Amino acid sequence: MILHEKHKKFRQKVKDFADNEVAPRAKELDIKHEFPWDLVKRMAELELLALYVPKEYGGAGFDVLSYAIAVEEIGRVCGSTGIFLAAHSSLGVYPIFVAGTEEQKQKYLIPLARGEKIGSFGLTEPNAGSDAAGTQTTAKLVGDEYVVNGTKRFITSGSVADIIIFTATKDPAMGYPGISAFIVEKGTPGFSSGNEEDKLGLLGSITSELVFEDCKIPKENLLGKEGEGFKVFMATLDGGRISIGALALGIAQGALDASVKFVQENKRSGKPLKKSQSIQSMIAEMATEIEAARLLIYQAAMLKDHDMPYTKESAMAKYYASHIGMKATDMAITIHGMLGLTKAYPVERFMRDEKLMEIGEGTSEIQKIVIAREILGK
Amino acid sequence: MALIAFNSEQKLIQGEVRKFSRTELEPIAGDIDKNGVFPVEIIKKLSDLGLSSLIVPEKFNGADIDTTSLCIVLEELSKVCASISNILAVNNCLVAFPIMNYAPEQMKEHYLKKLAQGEIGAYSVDLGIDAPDANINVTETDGDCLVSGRHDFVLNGETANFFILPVCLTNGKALYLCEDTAGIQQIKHQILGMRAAGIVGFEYKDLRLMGDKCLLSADKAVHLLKKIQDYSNIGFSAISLGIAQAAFDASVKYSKERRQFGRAICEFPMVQEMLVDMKTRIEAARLFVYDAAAKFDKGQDYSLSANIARLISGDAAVFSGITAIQVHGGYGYIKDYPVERFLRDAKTVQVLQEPPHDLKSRIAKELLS
Repeated sequence: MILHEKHKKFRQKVKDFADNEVAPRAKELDIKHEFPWDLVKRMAELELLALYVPKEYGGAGFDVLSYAIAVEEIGRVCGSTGIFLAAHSSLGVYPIFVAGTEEQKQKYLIPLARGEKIGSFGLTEPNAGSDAAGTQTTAKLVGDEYVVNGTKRFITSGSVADIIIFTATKDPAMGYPGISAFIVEKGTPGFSSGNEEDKLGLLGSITSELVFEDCKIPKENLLGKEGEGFKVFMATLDGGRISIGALALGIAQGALDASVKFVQENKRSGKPLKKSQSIQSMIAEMATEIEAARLLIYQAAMLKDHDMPYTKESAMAKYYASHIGMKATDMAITIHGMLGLTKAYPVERFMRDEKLMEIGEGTSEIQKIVIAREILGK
Repeated sequence: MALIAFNSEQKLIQGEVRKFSRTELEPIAGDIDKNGVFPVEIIKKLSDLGLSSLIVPEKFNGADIDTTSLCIVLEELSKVCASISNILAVNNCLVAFPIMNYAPEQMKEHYLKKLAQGEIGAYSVDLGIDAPDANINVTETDGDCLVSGRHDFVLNGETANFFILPVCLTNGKALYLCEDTAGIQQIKHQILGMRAAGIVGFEYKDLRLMGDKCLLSADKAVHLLKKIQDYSNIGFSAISLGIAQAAFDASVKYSKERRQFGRAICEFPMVQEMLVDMKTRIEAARLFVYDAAAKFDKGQDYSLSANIARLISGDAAVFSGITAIQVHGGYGYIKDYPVERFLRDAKTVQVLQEPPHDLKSRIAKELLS
């Protein structure tokens, strides 16, 4: 992949950080189910948390391509840290950046972009997953406040977030037109984070319930216009797909890197593994598919950077990268044999982490629907 | 299915194991996975029911069932708890089988009766039939040998009463039996799946293997080691089959219950296709698993069928695990549902002892010879 000098330099900077600071923590975060507070702080210092946000709003003033590269490089060594970065930037920062008023940007975007506050996005509910219009959380305007009731589930960084964007409806019977987006701050009476999920992978990231019980939110915390929550979260997810795709790509690259190292260092029946044609075949397949995924992701990122339509391309990128990522991580375990099942190698972690990429921010099935709709029309 | 016709005795065993799985295993399967605890009590119960030393002949107090029945038991158990199924597969296919078929008579008497009493036998996995193991050092001294080094993976190793280990001697690979479990340092792993199956590493320091405990001497071992591997592949394929079936069953159930866009998700063609893709692989695998078992039971050459069964069912289980999580969406990714365990177990059993590419190369050798 040919990149401009500034992106190459940027990649090197993130790669150094990932290799020197994130990689040594990855196994421990997974085993201990530990949230990487230290790495969050470091990412803030390195200005990685809002790469495409202009400097005046606390961002790095870079672009979406840089952001995809950053998620990829960090995901290559640690899926948990990668998913934090992706969720914070795409789901916490972006909705306010794209739909917030100037006051909201001053109040919320700047601290989020600087990493002084952690952001999160509450869309999914126990009974509203792919069917986001099935939102049952309600927000009723009473005087100058919205009164919110309901439960969100599977919310990345939910219980550690300071600022949460969420969706709620005026009336569950209304479907999309009833839904609006709001901002709630941690500590708001009536708002709490519930159970944290025990998951297959991404064990260093936090996934929690959010509970609203007669939670009163000031009217000015409406994000976007009333009834336009759908627009806000569709825009959010279009962009989010690039980062989940980039994360899937990074994890797949990590699995390939580990496999290459393994076959270069190990022998079988006295013969170096890398001389085995069946091993070569697997390595070649993984590497080719990873490179193709990278092109799709960078293409989607560059389209977004050029303000061109990218819905189809970002859906393709996420769908493809997570699909080949599952295959690559699965193959990486096979290449390692039984050793790949142990914590002595990172590949079993990569496979567990990778599976979420086919589910989060729109399942592969939803991506296919988006892609087909773009091609075939509605 | 027409090609698979179980006789009344086999159906009886199936019913009994299903009942056992439902009442005894289902309530604990998630917990023992989570805690990685070898299920001593359950193995004891299985043994009391005569379900642990399945293929051991009656004259050694075993259940003396055929290999088709063994597969039925393994499939049924792994639908609920693959770890327990794996313990039995190792006890039968990798421990009882070589002893029954290759050991001298007094050795059979001693070890098979132990298995029939519910003891656990383990099997040290080395790097394959014709490969010397760089981690193992063997010194031969008048009939005995001294072993130092380590095997990274000993199936059933954690609570084994005795174990079989392959060692490379000057004239080839031999199999030894050893009861000196005290002289061994265990290496604990945290393995992706099969977390309650007691898979550990063994570290040996001058472990003495007695000449009279030689199960299979080096001069005839190569051919017979292949037979053992082929036979164990029938067992492992039955485990994969059970996991795949369980993943499918869970997905059918969930897809009927879960509603999105105003209807049960099983009404969506993309979900239906996932179910059908799983089922297709599972039924193909089932034919091969029971074909291999039937061939063995009839005294026919089972090698190719067994190895194909292992490949197909291994793939079917990993595919079904991944797809079952997909059908469950976010709920598939968390431990409230068993499908994430099914994927971890499926991937684990797929690479046990003989990962697919090694197996393929062995199959190819046979096909081309």
